Order: sequence, then C-alpha cells, then structure tokens
Amino acid sequence: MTEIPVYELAAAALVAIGLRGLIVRRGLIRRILAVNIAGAGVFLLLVALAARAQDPGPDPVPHAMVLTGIVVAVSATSLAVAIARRLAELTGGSDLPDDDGEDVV
Amino acid sequence: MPTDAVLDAVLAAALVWVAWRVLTVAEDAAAAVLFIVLGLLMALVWARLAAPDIALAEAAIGAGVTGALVLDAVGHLGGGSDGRARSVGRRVVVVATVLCAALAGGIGWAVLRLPPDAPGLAAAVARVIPDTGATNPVTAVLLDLRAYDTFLELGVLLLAAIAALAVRRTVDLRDVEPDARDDLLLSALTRLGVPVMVLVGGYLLWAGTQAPGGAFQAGAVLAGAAILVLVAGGRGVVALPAGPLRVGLASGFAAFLVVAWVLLVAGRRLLDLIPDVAEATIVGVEVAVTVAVGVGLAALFAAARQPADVER
Repeated sequence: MTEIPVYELAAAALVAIGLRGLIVRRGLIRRILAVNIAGAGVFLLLVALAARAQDPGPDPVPHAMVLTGIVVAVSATSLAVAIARRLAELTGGSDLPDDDGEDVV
Repeated sequence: MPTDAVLDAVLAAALVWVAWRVLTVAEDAAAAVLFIVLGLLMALVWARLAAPDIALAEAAIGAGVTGALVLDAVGHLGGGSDGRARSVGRRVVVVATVLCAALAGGIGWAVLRLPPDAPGLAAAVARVIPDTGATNPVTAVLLDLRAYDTFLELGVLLLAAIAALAVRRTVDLRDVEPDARDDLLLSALTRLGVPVMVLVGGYLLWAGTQAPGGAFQAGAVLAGAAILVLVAGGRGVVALPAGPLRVGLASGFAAFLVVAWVLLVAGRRLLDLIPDVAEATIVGVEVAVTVAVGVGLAALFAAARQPADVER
C-alpha cells in the first residue's frame, strides 16, 4: 500500500486535539466535547485499520466494538451533561474552580 | 482512484479542522453546532470506510442525540463564551500543546509502521456466520459472538440513566416541563418527521439481521423522535409513569440476563447461543435492546434537561 493512510493520521490528530482541549479548556461543556473528540479519534483508528483488509471484506469485530463504544460514549456524555447542569444550577456557572482554590464558589 | 484519494484527503482534513474549531471557537453554542457538523462528517467517513452500520449509528447518536443534548445544555446554561478569562495559564497551554502534538506524532508513527495487510478477524467471522442466526456480520458479532460486550454496554446505558435520574433526585420524568414555545414550523416538522422516524426505526430493527442497521440504530432513531417531540413542546416518553419507564430502561439488560441465565441452566457457556434458535433469540433480544436504547437515550436527554425542582 503506497497511499498515505489519511484517516489513520486524522485519527491520531483527533485524539491529540481532544486531549489538548480537555486540558486547556475550563468550561465543562467544552471538556465534555473534548472527551468525545478524543473518543471519535479512537473509533476512527479502529475502523480505518479494519478497512485495510479487503478480502472477505472489512473486519466486523472492530465495527461492533465501535458501535458499542458510540452507545457507551453517548451514555457517559448524557450523564456528564446532567451533572454539569446540576453544578450550574447550584453554583451559577458551568466551569470548574481553579486547582489552587481561588475560584471556589 | 485519484478522485477517491482526493475525497478521502479532503474529508480527513475537514475532520481535523472542525475538531480543532470545536475546541477553540469562542462561543459554546458555536462549538455545539460545529460538533454536530463533526458528527455528520464522521458519518461520511464511516461510509467511505465501508462501515455502514457505524455510519447509521453515528448519524443518529453522534450527530443527533449527542448534538441535541449539548446544544440544549448550552441553551440552558446561557451559552457563555469560554474565552480567555476562563482558560488556563499560557504555560499550561504551551506544554499541553507540545505533549499532545508528540502524542499525535507517536500514534501516527506507530500507524505508519503497521503491516498494511493484516488479515484481522473477518475470515474467522465469515466462517462461523452460518451458526450465528444473523447474516449481517456486524450484528452477528454484536449479538452472538461478542454478546458479552453488548450485554455490559446495556448495563452502562442503564447505569447512566439511573445516575442521571439520581442527579435529578427523582425517578419520575413526568414533572419535566415541555417547552411552551409556539413555533409553527417546528410543530409542523415534528408532525411530519416523527411518523417517518418511527417507520425508519422499525425498518432498521427489522433489517438489522441481514443488512446494515440493527437495534442500536433503531433505538437511537426512536430516541431522536422522542427528543424531537419533547423539544417541540409535546411530552412523549416523559409522560411514562415511573414503573413503565423503569421497565423500558431495564428491558435490554434484562433480556440479555434472561438469555444468559437460560443458557447457563441449559448447560451451555454464558451467552453461547444455540445455533438452531439463534436467529429467534437475536430478534427477541434486539427488540428489547431497541426499547432500552430508545427509552434510555430519551430519558437521559429529559433527565439532563430539567433542573431538579427539589430543595437543594
């Protein structure tokens, strides 16, 4: 295979972008999205590697794992959003306090 | 061939660019919309990678349910901007960026070194397909060969729903206030859209054993219909009393549990389906899973939506 594996490389970039966003963003909604993007990168890597074998067709096992992963991801995301909204209701904001306690509500 | 390569390169570049923008754009609302765009781009990529089952699930769940959830949350949280005042220090940003770039480089390097023609498990799955009761290999893996994964996945969905209801401090969703908005276009779209979505959900469930589709995609489309009804001012799934709601939430996990128990009592290994009745078992479990995913995702959306009115 002489082609450039563009989807595999994009998957690596998504994981890194998601992880960076998780670290540098303070807003909880943005952090939830960051985890989802990193997860999407993992899914993309699995499926892109599964698509390499063309003879009897792509590998269905990673496909099933990604389907499972998508449902787990949306479950965790919903719970995270519910908790973030509860926090906003209690504190009036949707970002976390500073580690040094400056921002503690 | 060159057009294919160009399309793949453009799609991959668009994915990376949109993902970057989701996490760097100033407004939370813009980030939520960009995230939905990212989900739709992912669905296109799944189709390009010969994964139609995942493309359907991504369009319904990744772009649909997750997008609606986040957009709704941003609307209720005031859509504040996650600007510089709320970002971490400059040094942290630089260090994180360098480390994450190194991570991307490491993964990319590892991927480039992989053997290009690893066989995977496709041949092994194709060999045992006749015994599994499904002809769609992805459904065969999900509900027979690796049913244990799916069983536990439904456990995760159930736990998330229980936890979200607990955060709300209630098990009753009937106190969720429907949106009292008077939007002609939205209500007309809902009246047109919901019957079609129910039809599509039913088709996906029915088709899933032989063709792309299945319980998760069907459940997600039904959940999407329920969310649409809720957003348009109707009640839908949140009109369910606590009892039926719990039954709906637990149905998928319970169906798997019953199958696992019966098979263990019959002297087989855990979730080792009997080939002669595998198809009937899979169809039965899929119906329960569709209900669980549909009710579960809709309940998660509704639970995240309404702030608990209980005293703090």
